[in-house]
Amino acid sequence: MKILRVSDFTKFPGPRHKKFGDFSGEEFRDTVLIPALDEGEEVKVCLDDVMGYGSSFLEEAFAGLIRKNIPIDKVRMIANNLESKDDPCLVSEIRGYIEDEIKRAKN
Amino acid sequence: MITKILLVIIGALVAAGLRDYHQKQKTKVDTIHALMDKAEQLLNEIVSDLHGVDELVLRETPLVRNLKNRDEFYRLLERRRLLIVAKETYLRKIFTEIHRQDKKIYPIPTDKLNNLKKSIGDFFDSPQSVNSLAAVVANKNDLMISFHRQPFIWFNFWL
Repeated sequence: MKILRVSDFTKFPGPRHKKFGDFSGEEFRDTVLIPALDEGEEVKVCLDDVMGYGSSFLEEAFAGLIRKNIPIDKVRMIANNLESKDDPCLVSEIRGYIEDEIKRAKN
Repeated sequence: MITKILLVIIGALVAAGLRDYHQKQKTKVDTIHALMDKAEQLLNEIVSDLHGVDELVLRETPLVRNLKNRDEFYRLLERRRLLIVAKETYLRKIFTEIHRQDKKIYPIPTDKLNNLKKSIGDFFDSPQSVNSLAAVVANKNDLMISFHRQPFIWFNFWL
């Protein structure tokens, strides 16, 4: 299993889109998450050791995978392999964003 | 005579036990109230910071059309956003600590905290939107309802 640490990407997760600033959710999704998924291995994301997440970063990085046409089972695999010891609520928050986006995509 | 002495001793022991219990409970309640004060202050600071961002957006938005100023504007916005994210993270920790102090009375208001966080994110996604700041204030007020302070020290015999 490949373990991705957001703290290796940045200590200060940024805004939603690249155009709004550095270390955005969009950048994390496109440069870290999607390449890791393309390798075909199971992926685990560790959310600890950063200074806090904005909802936009989380929504774009994880729910944004659906908008990028990543298969739902792969996105759910990530949702089930999230780890956050610093703030366990983050996991349910991200799962909520993903499920909302799946519903939106189906409608 | 011996019965009276025994009664006095037992009475004194019970009184000491009650005083000790009361003191511990009072310390706990005072700690919780202090944490609530801090949370309230943070919530007000977040809204006041967002008001500042709102004013900045109103002032600077015409300049954003100018490409030269756009990057600087977004950098400024991002700096403000990071500060508010730090405050929101701290707020979450305060609620976790309140819950740790008294698990029965104070559950962590996770949904309300998530709603607040989401509305702050929505605000920064489109600060020009008329409703975005109002949504943050509404969620802040909703969260403040979670602060039911305890006017009395209750006896919880099952603790």
